Amino acid sequence: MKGILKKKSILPGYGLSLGITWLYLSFIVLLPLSTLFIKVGSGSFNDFISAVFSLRAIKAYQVSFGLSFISACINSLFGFLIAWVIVRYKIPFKGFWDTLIDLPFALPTAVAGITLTWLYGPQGWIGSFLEANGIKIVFTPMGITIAMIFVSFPFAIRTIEPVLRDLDPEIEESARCLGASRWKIFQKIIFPTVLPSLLTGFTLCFARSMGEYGSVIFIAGNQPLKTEIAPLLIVMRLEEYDYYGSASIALFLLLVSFVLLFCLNFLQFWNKRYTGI
Amino acid sequence: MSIELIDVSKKFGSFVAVDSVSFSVNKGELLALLGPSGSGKTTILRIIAGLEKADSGSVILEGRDVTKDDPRDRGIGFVFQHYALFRHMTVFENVAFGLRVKPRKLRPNESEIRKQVMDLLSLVQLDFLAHHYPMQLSGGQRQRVALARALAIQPSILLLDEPFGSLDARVRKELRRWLRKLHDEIHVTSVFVTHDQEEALEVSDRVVITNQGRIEQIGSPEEVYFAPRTPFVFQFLGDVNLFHARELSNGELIFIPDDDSGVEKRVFVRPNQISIALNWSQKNPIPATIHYINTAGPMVKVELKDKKGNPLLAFISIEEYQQLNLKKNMNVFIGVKSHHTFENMSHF
Amino acid sequence: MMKFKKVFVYCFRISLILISLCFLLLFLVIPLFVVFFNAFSQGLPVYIGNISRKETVESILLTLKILIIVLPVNTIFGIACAWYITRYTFRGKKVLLTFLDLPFTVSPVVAGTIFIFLFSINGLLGILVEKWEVQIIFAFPGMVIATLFVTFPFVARELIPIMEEQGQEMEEAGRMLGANVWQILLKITLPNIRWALFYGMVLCAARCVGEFGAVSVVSGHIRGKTITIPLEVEILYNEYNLVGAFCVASLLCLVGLISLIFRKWIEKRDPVYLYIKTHKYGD
Repeated sequence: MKGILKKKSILPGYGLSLGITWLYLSFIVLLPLSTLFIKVGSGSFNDFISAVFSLRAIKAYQVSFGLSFISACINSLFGFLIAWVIVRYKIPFKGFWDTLIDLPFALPTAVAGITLTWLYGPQGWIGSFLEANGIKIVFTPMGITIAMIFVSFPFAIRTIEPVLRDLDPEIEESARCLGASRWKIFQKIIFPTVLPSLLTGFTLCFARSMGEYGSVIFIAGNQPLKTEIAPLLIVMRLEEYDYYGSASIALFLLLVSFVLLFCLNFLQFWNKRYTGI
Repeated sequence: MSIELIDVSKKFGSFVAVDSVSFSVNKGELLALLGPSGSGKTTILRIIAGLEKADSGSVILEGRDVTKDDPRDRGIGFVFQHYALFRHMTVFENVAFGLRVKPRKLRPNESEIRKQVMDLLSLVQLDFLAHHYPMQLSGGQRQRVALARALAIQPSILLLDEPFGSLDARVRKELRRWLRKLHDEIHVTSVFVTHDQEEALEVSDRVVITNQGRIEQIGSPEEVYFAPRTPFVFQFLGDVNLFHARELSNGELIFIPDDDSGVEKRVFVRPNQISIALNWSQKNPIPATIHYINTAGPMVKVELKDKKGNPLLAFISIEEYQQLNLKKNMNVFIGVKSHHTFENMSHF
Repeated sequence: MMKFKKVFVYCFRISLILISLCFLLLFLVIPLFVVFFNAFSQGLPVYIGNISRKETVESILLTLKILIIVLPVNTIFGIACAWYITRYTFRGKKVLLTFLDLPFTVSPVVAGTIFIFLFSINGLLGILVEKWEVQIIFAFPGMVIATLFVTFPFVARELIPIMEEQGQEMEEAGRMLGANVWQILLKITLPNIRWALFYGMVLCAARCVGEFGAVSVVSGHIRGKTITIPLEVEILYNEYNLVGAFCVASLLCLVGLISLIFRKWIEKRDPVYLYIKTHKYGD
């Protein structure tokens, strides 16, 4: 019982793998993170509060968190729908879609950014059509939302899909035999089983959208107080040589990330009751 | 003495898996570790192999204390329950592995490796499968590859964890006779773990019966079967009928007592030691009702209930069954041909 | 009545499929098409001219230089970390696993920023910077370190579920047969996890090549010196060289597509891997 030094297996290489793991993590994660705390700790609590909750920062959080929330909701809905269709129905080119769904993970965010900006911009195919009808997307919160949806929707699909796939058909059949209607089966059996992974997908989408930078800054327009996202504000503060302000906002976002990580861990624990994994 | 365990204990968290166990294995012996699941038998085997470290006690192999030694320095061949064959290697390469990883100075050359491996494969009658992969083999074949692989390093001791556990019933029986024969040929000290009493009694020279991390009894199959030391051993090795009787001062047992004379006794009786008669006699004093008869098999199984409704099981020969012309719901009288009593009844 | 219900269910199903396909078309196929459409909008010669420009080639070389350092380092870490997590029991495993999720929830900009503070004069490692007079931030080393942070868990996260699933009996058997740690690793462990390892490396490489946020913060945008491929895309775009930007972007797109196809290919080869893969996100 010596904490991280406890060893049970007889397999060799314990010291080596432990050493590499913790040394590398200390250098690449723990040390940098502690720097941020030290940097912020160098000022008083009031400095921190005024840096984190300046008007511009609050507006940036509203943009970042609000739009992340909206995009995560949309993604959960469509994620469930698409996962359902992929698992349950025969659709043409299923293998193709299944491969392509992960594209937003594989596509560099800068590429996504310029592509979406062009597509929804005045010269793009969708943008020109919408603008003729008086809807402007680029440089508005709607554009930011679209970028956020794009970069995070595979999370929602990929968390729900395995749970739907694993749903035992016998349970549904037995419910059927007991006289439940399709809607009742969905409401009473399928939905509660999928709920934890739906929430996991939601949290992952939210976290990704909140931190997203590359794809959003092209389409956002980056007007302070209107379409400026929180990560961009960190960069702006850096460029203004307001290092303390930048560190404070970075720390605040980091703390939010930790809260989300905690939520994910809790959801995993909750999900275990159903999946037994 | 080939293997000696002295006062070995092991806990997993608060669960006591092995509780001060001591026993020894003679050179060239085939010993069975028999017990229900969770009785600590596999843990004992893994402690001998060095795959688990004991919390206390020592392990002595061939007179050398190896308690702190690494498993690779113990010279033990180990056959895993699920074989643990290297699935990315052919049967040949699996068996050759132990030779190929030897330090350069001790490593035999390629032609010697080839010869040794093929000899082993023909010993386990699998030389024709040398270039197949484990996934392409049947369970019994995999089992024998695992055995050949363990023997390749010429171990002084062979340990087998539930060697027939994941095979179907027919292959199991075949393979255990084959293992007995193989052991008689190569005479390597062997210990195997099993939860199947029939297997242990049929194959081994001696049996160690474990329960809840302790040893219940050590002895030859005949000893443990005919002279069980504890009620647990008696019950674990076969079906049992339990009677409440009174023992008079002259040692006579009264199954249907009229008064409170003598001492109350619990009596253990095997089903084949119960006799059935149509009429009351001194020998068959206990009234019972036949509940169910199963004639399929070498013996006729008769399930009965005594007057209090306690279930009883009797095995009788087919001739006896036909002679008595037993029927369901018949009232009969049963007797006890031989029985066991235990002084220490704390388990019950 | 029954017939009406059947038709209704059928229509419901068709509309679900149509909505899904529209979403996927809108968010996958069209954007992908846009990239290549714009890249080739002025013909192949212009495309080749654009991607063989001096700045573009320099950015490709720089990205490859970063990749050559990051990939081996994170691969070694990934193997060691997965071995440590799956082969031993120790306290703090949960914390360690949480660390491996960190780059997925922390904004890349935050990641870049913390390295700026780490190597600033007042930072924890600022002293080193001063003493050795090496430029870390706004230079190559800083970009490597920022990329290391955003890509460090990829290999480990691919290996952990598959090594957990396989268990350690094979390695124990190897030990019983006298193998040492390197023989176990090279002859038993790695051959059995090779596809997951490859895929982890592909993911790591793809992210390394495409990383924008973290690298952008620490790069300083010095033309010809600290411009990686994604930063080159940004610069071209901001210079209103749209076609040029999409030409370079199409290269990145190709890297992404190759990693996707590679994954599909692995899943076809190794069904066990597919099984674990599909069960990973949910747990």
